Amino acid sequence: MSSTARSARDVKRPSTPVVLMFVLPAFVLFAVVLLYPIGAALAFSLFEFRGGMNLVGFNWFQNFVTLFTKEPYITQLPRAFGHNIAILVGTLVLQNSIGLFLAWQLQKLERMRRVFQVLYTTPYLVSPLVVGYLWTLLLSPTFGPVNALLRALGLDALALPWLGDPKTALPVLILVSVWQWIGFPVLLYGAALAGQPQELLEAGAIDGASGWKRFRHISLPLLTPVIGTVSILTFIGAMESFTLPYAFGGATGSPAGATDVLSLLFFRESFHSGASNALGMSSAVATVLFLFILGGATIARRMLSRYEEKLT
Amino acid sequence: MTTAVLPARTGTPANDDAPPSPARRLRRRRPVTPQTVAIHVALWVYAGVSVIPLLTMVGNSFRTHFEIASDPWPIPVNPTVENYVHAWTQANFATYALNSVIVTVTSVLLSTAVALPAAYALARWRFRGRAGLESLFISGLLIPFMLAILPMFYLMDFLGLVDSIFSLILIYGANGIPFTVFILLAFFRQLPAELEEAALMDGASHVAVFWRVMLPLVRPAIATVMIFRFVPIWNDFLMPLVMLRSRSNYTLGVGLTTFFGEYQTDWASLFAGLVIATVPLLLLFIVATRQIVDGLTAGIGK
Repeated sequence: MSSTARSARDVKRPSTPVVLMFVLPAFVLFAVVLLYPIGAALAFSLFEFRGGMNLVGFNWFQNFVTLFTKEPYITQLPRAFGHNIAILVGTLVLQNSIGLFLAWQLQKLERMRRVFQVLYTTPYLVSPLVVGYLWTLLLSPTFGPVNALLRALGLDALALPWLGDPKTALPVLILVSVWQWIGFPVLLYGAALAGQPQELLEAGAIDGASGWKRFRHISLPLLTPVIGTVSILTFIGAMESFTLPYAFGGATGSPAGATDVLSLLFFRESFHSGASNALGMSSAVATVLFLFILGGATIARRMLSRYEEKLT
Repeated sequence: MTTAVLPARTGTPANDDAPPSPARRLRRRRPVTPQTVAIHVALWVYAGVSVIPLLTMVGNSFRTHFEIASDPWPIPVNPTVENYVHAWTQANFATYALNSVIVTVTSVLLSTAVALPAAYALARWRFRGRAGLESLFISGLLIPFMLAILPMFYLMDFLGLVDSIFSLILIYGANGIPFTVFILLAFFRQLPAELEEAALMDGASHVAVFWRVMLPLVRPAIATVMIFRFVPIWNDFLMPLVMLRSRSNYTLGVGLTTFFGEYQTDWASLFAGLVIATVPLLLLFIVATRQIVDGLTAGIGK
């Protein structure tokens, strides 16, 4: 922008009514429908209510004390939290291994690359609810084609009630979640690999580094920022995961709470608890989640940008 | 990720150094060894893992319940559209689908309509509070608004919008503002100042400059943003689950849930219902593959 440009615009600066006409609709909609409720959710965690919105009074951190010391929270909260962490770790490991491997191999292809990318990305376009119900049908112990296939292969021992058994339900949830999202890391890592400076890789090749060594010592370190980005998004996704667990186990995380997660707990506390202080307690859960998600994402981004600085 | 969907993007990745012919390059670079064969097999196997469950869904939706129960192989030998007719008419899917379309389209239009002028003002004008407003909108990208669902419910109750799809339109419309502002801001910033000045010198008003000169230039970005907002709104399930009460207002997600409760044993119709909920997104993907793939990988690898 040249200085003449700036002065020209200073002369013809839009008047305040025009500015307001442009920014006010977005601001009002955003503030009323989102900012006010999220602010309210955080503030309400410090109050006690008696049925709906009927305020009893300010009760400091009593809701949080209840959350961390009373039943059913002291059983359900750590359990749900553990499941969210399991989902996070499982998806991180699988996405970053399988996803990275696929992206790396696709990089060597020419015409087929796009075809594979599209095939791997298709499940990502299907709603998590549809994915959940589809796999419920596919894994059904009675008519499910997965168990039929296993029996046909003579693997009768593996024809289990996958989603009905508390031991297998969570691992299945993690695998299905990875199945759905894998296209995302494949595309992102693919784009990052395509953008890497060829001179470096060719220099490596001239120095006699094998394909794997070039990947391990040249491509992978350069990929770290993208891996970080994918991991942060995975973190947020794993912590907010709601629809897939709901489709598999309903609001209670059946079987026997094996697929219960924080957002289901929050949902039950908000709408199914029937407690008179539901608003206060659900706001306390919301606040804990809010701080954890935002805090985790912020710390991760700090670490990432520090690493990026070191890299350059 | 700002540079994202920016107009400067060209489709060619850095390593496409114009080979003489793709086939020759392939042969030169990659001789067929057991290892490359194994890798190709692995790639195809994973492609199967990705797509076969979805093909099973589609295949079974054209089969009868008896066929599905007796033979797991999902090829429709005697294809029937009976399941679709059943889901569409008996099980209210026509209503659900219509509601989903109305909600998704209207809320995408709403957030674009309010975010476009806001993004333009933030990008091109200087006024008091500009920086604060910009960071307020952008910070909205990171806030998990799902956690505000109970106060949101009471707000909608206060407005008399519980059990109305207008509640969803307002919420999704607001929810789309941070992303839409974020992307369009970057696009508006890129436009040369001379264009704006020339029009202003000619006596055009600021509103006319925005509407006639600048808006047409960011049309591709608007299309991309709208496509990207479409998917999460279409797929959302929590909001309608909380806000809607009566069946005539259900969107596909909640409709699907009741359908699964009631037709547990009618597998054929269940598969048809799943396909109905998915087809619009697949159509969108086919129409807009380029925008979606480029958008997902935006800002990476440069």
